[in-house]
Amino acid sequence: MYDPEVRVTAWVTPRSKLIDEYSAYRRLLCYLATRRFGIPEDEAGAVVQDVFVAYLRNQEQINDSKAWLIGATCNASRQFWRKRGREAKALGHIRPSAAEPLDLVRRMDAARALSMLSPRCREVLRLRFAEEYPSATIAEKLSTTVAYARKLVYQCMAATRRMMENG
Amino acid sequence: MHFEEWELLAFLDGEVELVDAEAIRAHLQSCAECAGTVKGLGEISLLLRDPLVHQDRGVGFDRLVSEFLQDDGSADAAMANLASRPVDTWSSMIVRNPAWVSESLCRLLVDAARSQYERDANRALAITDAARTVADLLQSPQSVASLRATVAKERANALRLLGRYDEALTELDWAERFLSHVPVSDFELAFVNWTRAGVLLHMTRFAEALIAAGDAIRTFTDFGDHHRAAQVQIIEAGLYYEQGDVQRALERYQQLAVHFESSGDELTLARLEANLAACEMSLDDGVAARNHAEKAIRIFARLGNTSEELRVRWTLATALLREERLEEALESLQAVHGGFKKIGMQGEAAETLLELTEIHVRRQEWDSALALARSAVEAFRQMNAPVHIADAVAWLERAVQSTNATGPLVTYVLNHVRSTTAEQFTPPSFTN
Repeated sequence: MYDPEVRVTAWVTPRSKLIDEYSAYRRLLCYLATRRFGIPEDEAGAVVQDVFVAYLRNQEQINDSKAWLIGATCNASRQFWRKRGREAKALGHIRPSAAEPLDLVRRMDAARALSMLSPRCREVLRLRFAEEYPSATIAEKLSTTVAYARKLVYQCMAATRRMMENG
Repeated sequence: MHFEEWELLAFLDGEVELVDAEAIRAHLQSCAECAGTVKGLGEISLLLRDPLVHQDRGVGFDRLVSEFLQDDGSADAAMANLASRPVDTWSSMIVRNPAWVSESLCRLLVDAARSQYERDANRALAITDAARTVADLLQSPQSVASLRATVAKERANALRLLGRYDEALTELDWAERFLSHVPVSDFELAFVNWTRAGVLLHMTRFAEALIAAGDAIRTFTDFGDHHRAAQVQIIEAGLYYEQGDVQRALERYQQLAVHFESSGDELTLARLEANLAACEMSLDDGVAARNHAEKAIRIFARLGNTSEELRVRWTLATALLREERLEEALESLQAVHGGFKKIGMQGEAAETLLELTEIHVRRQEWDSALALARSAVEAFRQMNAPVHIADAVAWLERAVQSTNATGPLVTYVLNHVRSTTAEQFTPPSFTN
C-alpha cells in the first residue's frame, strides 16, 4: 500500500497540461538549445518560450509532444543563428550527438512523470537527488522520522517508474 | 512472492536497516521480474540525479496560456450566433460585434471550413472569409500573422478542391509571407508545402511539386510526425507515377501500405490500395491490380465512402475497356454511371457517358452510341461546362452521327475533357 502523499495526478485540463508540460520540459529544451546549438544561456529561454507559443498554437495538430518539442527547438535554434548570420558556425563546430535525442526523450519522460506526482513527492525527490541531501536532512525538512523519509523517497521513485512505464 | 519496489530501491541504496539485503540478493538470483525491476529503478535513479528533469516554473507562461485559453467560451457563443445566419453575412456580423473577435473564434471558423471541404468547397471558402476578417481584427501582430497564414492555407485547400489552382498558389504565397513573421513556423510551413505539392501536382508542375513535398516530408520527420510525413509521401509517389516512373511509385506505395496497415488509418490504406491497382494496371499486371482494387473497394464500402468506392470501380471498368473486354466493361461502366448519378457526382457521371459511347462506337452500334453521345452533351450543358469541353463533346456527337467516330477518337475527346488546361478544342488529325 502506497502512502497517500505519493499520489499521481493526470494532466486533465488543457490549461494544466500546457503549464505542466512547460514546467516539465523547459529546462531540458533550454539545455538542448545551449548544448547542441550553442545558443547563449541567457537567450535559450526566449527560444524555448517561442517554441512553446508555437506548441500552443498547433497543439491540436500535434501527435507526439516530446518529438515535436525537440524538433521545434532544433529548428528554432537553427533559425536563431540564421538570423544572426552565423549558421555556418552553429552547424559547423557543434555536431549533434547521435545518442543525445534518445537520451533527451528519456529525460523528458522522467520530467513528465515527475510533474504528475504530488508536489510533496516532487519535493522529496528534488531534495534527495537534485540537492543530494542525506535522509536525515530530508526528514528534518519534512518534519518526519528518518525511516519514513527514506521510505517516502523510495515510494516516490517507484511511482515515477510506474508513470514512465505507463506513458 | 515478489519484493515491493521501494524495498528493491532501498536494497539498491544499501539501506540494510530498512530491508533484508541477503533475502533480496538471493531472490534476485532466481526472479527475472524483480531483477528487471531493479534494472529499471537503477535507470530512474540516474535520471533523477539530473537537475534538468526537476520542475521549473517558467515565469510568464501561465499568463500566456491563460490568455490563449480564456476566450474559448465566448468564441463558442459567437460561433453559435454566426451559425444561425447565412455564411455570406458572417464577416459583416463580426465587424459589427468586435467583442466576438478572438483567436479562438478564428480557430473555430477554420475548423468549420475544414469540415466542409469534401461536402461543399465553396461554403468552406466563404467560411475562411469570415476567419480572415477575425484574424485582421486581432491586436497581437504575431497572432495576426499566424492566423492569417492558417487562413490562407485553408483557402488554398478549398481553392484546390474547386480546381482554382492559380488562386490556391497565390494564397500559399501569402501563407508563407505571413509565416515569415512568426518566430517558430517550420511546422506550419510544412502544411503549406504539403498543400502546395498537391496543387502543383494537379497543375502538372511535377518538378516543383516534388520539391515542396520533399520539404514537407523532411520537416514532419524532424518534428517526429511520421504519420504526416507518410501522407505527404503518398503525393510524392503520385508524382513519380505522373512522371512515368511507375515502378518507383509502386514500390513507394507498397512501403506506405505497410505503414498505414499498421497505423489503422483505413481510409488512407484504401486510397493506397487503389493507387497500387492503378500502378499495376500501367505495368500490365491485371491480376494484382484487380486484387488491390477489390481490397480498396471492400474498405471504402465498409467505411461507407461511396464516392471513393465508385472511383475504384470506375478504374477497374476502364481497365476492362482498355483490355477490349467490352461486354464486361459495358456492364461495369453502366453500374458506375448509375452510382455517380445517384449520389450527384455529375462530372464523373458525364465522363462515364463518354466511355460508354466509346464501347458502342467500337462495336459500331451507332444508334446506342449516338443516344449516349447526346446524353453526354446534355449532361455537360447542365453542368455549365467550359466552352472548350462543350465544343469537344458536341464535336464527338457529330462524329458519331456521321458514323465517323472511332475508339481512339473518343479517347482523344475524353483526354481533352480531363485535361487541366483550358485549351481550345482542336479535332484530331487522325480522323481524316
